[in-house]
Parts: sequence; C-alpha cells; structure tokens
Amino acid sequence: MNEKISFPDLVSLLASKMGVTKKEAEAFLKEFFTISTEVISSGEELKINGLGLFKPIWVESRSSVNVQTGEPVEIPGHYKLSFVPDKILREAVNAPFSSFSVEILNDHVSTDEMMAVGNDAHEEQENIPCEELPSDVSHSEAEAIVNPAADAVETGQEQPDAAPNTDKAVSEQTDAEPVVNETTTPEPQPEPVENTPDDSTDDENEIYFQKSTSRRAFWWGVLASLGAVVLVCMIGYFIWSGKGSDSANILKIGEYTLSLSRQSAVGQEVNKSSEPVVLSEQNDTTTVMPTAGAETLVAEQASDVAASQPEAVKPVPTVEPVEETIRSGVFLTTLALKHFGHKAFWVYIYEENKGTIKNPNQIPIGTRLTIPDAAKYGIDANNKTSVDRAKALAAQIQSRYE
Amino acid sequence: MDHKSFLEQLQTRLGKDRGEVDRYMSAFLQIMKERCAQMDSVSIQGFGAFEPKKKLERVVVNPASGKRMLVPPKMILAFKPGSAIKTKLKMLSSK
Repeated sequence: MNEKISFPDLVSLLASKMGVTKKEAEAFLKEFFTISTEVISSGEELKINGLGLFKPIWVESRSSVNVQTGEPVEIPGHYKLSFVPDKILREAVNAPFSSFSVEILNDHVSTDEMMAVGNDAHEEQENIPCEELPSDVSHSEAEAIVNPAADAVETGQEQPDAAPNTDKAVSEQTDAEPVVNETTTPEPQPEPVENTPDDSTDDENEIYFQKSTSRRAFWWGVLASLGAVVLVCMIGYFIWSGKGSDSANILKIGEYTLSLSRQSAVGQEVNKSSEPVVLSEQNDTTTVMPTAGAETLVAEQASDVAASQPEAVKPVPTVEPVEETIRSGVFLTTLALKHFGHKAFWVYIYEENKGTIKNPNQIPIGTRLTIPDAAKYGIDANNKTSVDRAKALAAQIQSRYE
Repeated sequence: MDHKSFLEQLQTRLGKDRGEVDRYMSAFLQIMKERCAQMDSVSIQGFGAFEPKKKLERVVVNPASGKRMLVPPKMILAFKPGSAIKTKLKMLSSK
C-alpha cells in the first residue's frame, strides 16, 4: 500500500517473477526505458500494449501576465507529455470503484450537501470499498437470523394446540421437549434466505442499509407478539388440564413443578414450597400457577434456543437454485458474467427461464430469474469450446427475435 | 511508434528472440498491474513515475441538454515524466 517502487525494486521483482538473474532483468528494464525515453523524446508517440500510450502534445504559445510585476509575458509553445493508460491497466487500478456508474441528477436535488460530505469524507472514501462489505454481510445475516426465528416461534405456537389431545398432565414434560425439537428443526431454512442477499449487488445492499433498522424492529415486534401468544396458549392449556384431571394428576403436576423448578434454578418461589405439602388440595390453584410460570420459562428458553440456534449454525452451502431480479442495468449478459465468468453464457440463463422471458432483449424490470447450475449445461469460462457453443446458441436465439 | 516496432527494437538491442522478450514484457506488465492496483507508485529514475491517484466524485453539466450528472469517484493511473524526458522535450520545443 502506497509503497514507492524504485528501479532496483522493480528489477528484483522482475527477476524473482521470471526466475532469472537480476543482471538479466536489469538489462531488459534498462533497454525498455532507454528506448521508451528515446522514442518519446523524439516527439513520437509510443504505444505499449498493456501499459498505455505516451504522446507528446504540442502546446501553442499563449500570452500570460507576470503575477508579481503585472507585465504581460508570452509563454512559448512547448511539448507536454500525455499518458493514457491501457484499458487493462486502467481497470485494474480502478477495480475498487468499478461498481459505480455515472448518475443523472434530478433538477431539484441540491448538490451542496453532497459536495460538503464528499469533501469531509475524503479520507473515509478511500476505505469505503473495504468497509462496505463486512457490514453488509452482517446486515443480511441479521435478516436471515430473524426470519427463521419467527418461523420457529410459529411452529412452536402450533404445538400447544395439538397438546390438549394428550389427557395426562404428566405428558407435559415430554411435550415441552418436542417444542424444543420442533423449534430447532427449521434450521436448514436460512439457506435460501442467506443465498439471495449474498449474491445481491451493491444497489441492493444500499437498500438493506436503509431498511435494515426498521425491518429489524418490525421482526422483533413480530417475534415478541408470537412469543406472547405461545405463553397464553401454554397457560390456557395448563388451567384446562388442571381442571379436567383428578387429584392424582394434580399431585403429579406438583411433582413435575418441583422437578422443573429444581432443573431451572430460575423458578425460586416454587423452590420455597418444594416440600411435599404440595399434595394438599388447597394447593390446587397455586400449584397450577407456578407450573404455568415454570412452563412459560421453559417456553421462553425454548424460543431463546430457537433464536440462538440459527445464529450459531451456519447454513451449509448447497447447490440451491440462485435467483436474481432484473433491474435497470442488469441484463442476462451481466448476470452470466457474474455467475459463470463469461458474457456468452447468458443463453443458458435464458434457456432456464424460457417460460418467464418472452424476449431476451427486453426483459421487464422486476422479473425473477433462476440461475442454473454451471454443471447442468457444461459451463466453463476457461473452456473455449464451451464458450463457442454458447455463442452459437446465442446466434440461434437472436435470429428468432429479428 | 507502435507496440510491434517497439518490441522489434527491444529484440535487436537485447539480442534476444521474440518469445523471450514477450515473456519479459508480460511479466513486467503483470508486476506493474499488480503494484498499481495496490496503490503503489512505480518511479523510474530519468523516465518518470507511474502513480495511482484518487479522483473525487463530481457533478458535471451537459452543456447541450443542461442535465446534471454525478460522476462517481475513481482511481486513475497518472504518469509524471522524469527529468530526462522533460529536458529532452524542452530542447525539442526550443528548436
């Protein structure tokens, strides 16, 4: 970063890269720059493929004013050297900013603010390409986490509805475990959700930036309300089962309460009454209530587990079909370049989405496309025959739309 | 002078065949590309310095249509000619 490479450094770099002695590398570089200097000095332009074009330009003489004395002076005509880097080199240097494009401003947009920010954030701008990516990932991950959590609670909610079918309250202990199991099962679900934000381009990421905060708040609200519904269902079930069952069952509920409260050290009030006194009939309602309390604790823990589980378990990358949405500036060719490494392979994306694409030259914005697996059509950007095959197919498809 | 005649002149001066000079060239250009992409500047005594520079975003106005456009920030590779080239060009100018 920001190193200054001098001629000797360049010599040693070239020598190590070529596997030759420094003497030979130096001989080459010396000749290279000597010839370049000679050619340029003679007023001739010099084009080196991969490096650029050096061109001495004649500047006409012009009159100017000596700032100190105010005397008019004439600047004589002279040569100046212009250098235009080659396309390859230019793109390599500009790689961090390559995703930007010229934007047309609307009339009412004020530029003063923007420019002020631009000047202040001069130093920050340098780091934007690096910083942008990690934060984006965290945003999309957060989203991916919230979604399965909400799903998990939903499945948890169904559980108490089914639970009343079992008459014995004893089975509640086994019921509580299925809740945990049920809620943990949706783990694999984040895969498709995770995949799409990862593949999304910068535009989408910016939208995530703006929306993520409000969206996250929304999902947490949903999560909280679903959790409340689950608790109410649990309590309702317990009261119902407490009334419906005989004294033997109540005793068992009491025992269960005790065992639960011992397991989860949180239920401290129940611990106080952890004597066998629970057997008495008067404890009918009191035993039920702590039970419900303890049960809700379990439910909360379960939902906590459910919420934290998808966070811990990273989705295993699989060959899920990747989906892309057509936007302005996104074409089949750009998608092919992004996913397969060569523009020519757009035909396979077209083949995969024949049903949705009427005309590959005009795809309406917002169309969702499935990106096929590279292996399915034998796509290989490095294989010339594969590229040629795609091009032949492209010509065939294009002829249909002319 | 175009690329081809430049390479030919290099061959005759170095006494090496085409393939070898090509390999040297591609290796040298590879180094230049990698280094400049890393924001390293390459300065050669007498010849000049290749220096990647950052250009801030700016607003331009199309004089014909009056449309304002926001040109994004970019990095460019600038070349600053060294003393040898400068003096020789100056001599050429004064002739």
